[in-house]
Amino acid sequence: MPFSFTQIEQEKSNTIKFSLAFLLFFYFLSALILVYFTKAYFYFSSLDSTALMAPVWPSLDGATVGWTFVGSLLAGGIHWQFSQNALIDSVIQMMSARKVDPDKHGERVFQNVVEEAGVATGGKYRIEPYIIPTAAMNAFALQDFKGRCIIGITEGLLKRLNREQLEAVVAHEAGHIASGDCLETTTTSALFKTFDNICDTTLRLMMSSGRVGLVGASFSSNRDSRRGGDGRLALFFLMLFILASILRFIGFLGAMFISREREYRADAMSAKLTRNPMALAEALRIIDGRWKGAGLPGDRMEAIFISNPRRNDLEQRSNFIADIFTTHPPIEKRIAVLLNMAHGTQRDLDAAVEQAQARYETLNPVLPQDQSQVQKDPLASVRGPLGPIMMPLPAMGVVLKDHCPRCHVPLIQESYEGTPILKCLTCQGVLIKEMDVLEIVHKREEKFNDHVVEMGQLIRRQIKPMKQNPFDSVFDEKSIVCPSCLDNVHRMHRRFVSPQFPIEVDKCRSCKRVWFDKDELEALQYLYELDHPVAA
Amino acid sequence: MMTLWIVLGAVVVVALMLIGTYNGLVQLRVSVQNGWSQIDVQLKRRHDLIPNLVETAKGYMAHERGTLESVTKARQMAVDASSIKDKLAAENMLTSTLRSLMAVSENYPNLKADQTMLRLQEELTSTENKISFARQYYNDEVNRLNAAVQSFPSNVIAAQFGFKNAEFFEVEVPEERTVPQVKF
Repeated sequence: MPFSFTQIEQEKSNTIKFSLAFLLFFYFLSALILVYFTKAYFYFSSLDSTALMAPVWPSLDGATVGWTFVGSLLAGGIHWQFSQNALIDSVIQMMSARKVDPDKHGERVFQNVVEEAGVATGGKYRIEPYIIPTAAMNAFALQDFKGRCIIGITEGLLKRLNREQLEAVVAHEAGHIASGDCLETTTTSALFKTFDNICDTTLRLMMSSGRVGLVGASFSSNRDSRRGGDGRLALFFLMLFILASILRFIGFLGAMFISREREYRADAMSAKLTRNPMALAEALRIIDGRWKGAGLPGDRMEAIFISNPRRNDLEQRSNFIADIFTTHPPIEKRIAVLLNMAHGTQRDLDAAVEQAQARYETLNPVLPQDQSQVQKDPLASVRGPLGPIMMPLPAMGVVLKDHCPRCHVPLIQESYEGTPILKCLTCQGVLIKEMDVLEIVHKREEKFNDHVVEMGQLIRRQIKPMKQNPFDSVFDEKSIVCPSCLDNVHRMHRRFVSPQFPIEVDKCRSCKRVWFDKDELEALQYLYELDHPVAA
Repeated sequence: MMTLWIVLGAVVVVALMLIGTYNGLVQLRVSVQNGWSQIDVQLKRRHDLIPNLVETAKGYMAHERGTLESVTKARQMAVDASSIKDKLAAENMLTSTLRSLMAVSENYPNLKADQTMLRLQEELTSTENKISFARQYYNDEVNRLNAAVQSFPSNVIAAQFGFKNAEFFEVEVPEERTVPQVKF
């Protein structure tokens, strides 16, 4: 462990060399495959049907490989020159991150904390603070070869951390930047993303060209030559698709080089910088178990985040395979390491997290109307898709029949738009039969309050390019027990309502009941009505 | 002939080493200076914040005139200090008076809720953090420079060209120096 930022800097040059070498290799390999496929394509299209029966695969000679190497070097250089400027911008755009607004107190604090991290590096980096407008909980760092650095945080996380925790998280990200991890991850993530897009495009082109071929065939049987041409076009796109897939796989291999050890390293650096490992442990615990942003446009860029946005079961293990294929260590292990540094215990941590939560509630109270500043901020009222602040802490008490799984008070039988529901008067959560949800959604009686409208619009904005399997559900020791069937083994799964309505709810698989936290049901109705406007 | 070449080669190697060591020392000195100017910027910023802070606090805590005056006085001393040693003492003094001001202000809920105060307090916290980070960086660099100045063979060149040990920016724990004054 280096002792000063200058020393960390010196170690970093190796990382840069490695990244450059990897990039070069990447270009070379892709060019080689491209050349081979083109050759094979022209070779096969020149053959007649008899020769096709016993094809001789073309091979590449040394000169071709050499020229390919030179060509890829050139192409790589040119692409490099162009992509340097765009690298960070494109990533930011993908995540629809925005700059901070210094007029808002919370964001100003974030800006200050990021500036502090810049000072800690001896003023060598000008780190720009960015904000991702989502209710998810995560933070990330980016860096390109020109030395532009960015530390970003989601609004959801920013709202929940106190200053010390925020400092710890930012210091963790600054540690990534100083050690050059960010160069690695930014490069590989961007490459990965590019080829991902190419894959999609070629697949679509292939489909459409294949369809044109078929349509042409059915309409005019005498235009055989044209049909053949289109078939070959489709074949060409198929080749391109395979190529892009291979490249994507190589990109994936690159992502695998990103060791999960670096997260421990950045955690350690954060502790060294802030002298407060406890705050980072608290922040990790606050992030853990909440929605980290799976399904957002930041998908496939897991490596840049402080905590993996996609829940990965493999990540929870610590064997060799997990070491290779995952980008983040198990969060519990990270917390354990930090607790060891702070000479603290789990109990201290739980107490500190609860205390931080209480502080959050006193600092962000539901204010009366005249405090317009806080009211204007949509996220102040959104309690996050994973529910209100009283998230179940790991040590959950026994759940009683028809008692709120979060607050443990009796649920009250109510009628909501004519449908019977069970409601918790403390946290405003509701338990509904899955069938009844449809009933409620179809009716249009209630007016929506501003919170719901803002939350709905937030979800609609951020979820458009959703790639993650919407039917993924999360089930772990933090899942809540269904208050209706009280099955402790088969607890409720956290999952989206449906692909169209990405609101995370808890679903019971045995009795088909759904638990909606405060405002989630209204947000669902709002989204439904957005998609199915009433005929005027 | 052969010997001449060997001697010439050795001379060139030694000269290159000398140049390298000298440049390394210069670089270290520059980065120490840079580290100090980083601290200086933040200290100035803190000086600029304090009059506003005192002005805002005055409106709410009329009975704490003593505390407020000691902050103003400590600030003036810090601004006037010229040598690094004086500066260190004055800034440490200022830090401790500010701490006691903050401790006292806990007793005034209205002051704590004041928006201007909230903003100033945040700026002050941020500046204090920046000072401590800048100090950390500065001390790291001083450490490197001093190690180079004292260790062989660079100490020979250092002595020849007048490279000196730099001073650490040390903080004394303010709590040990003064007890916050609370008057009723």
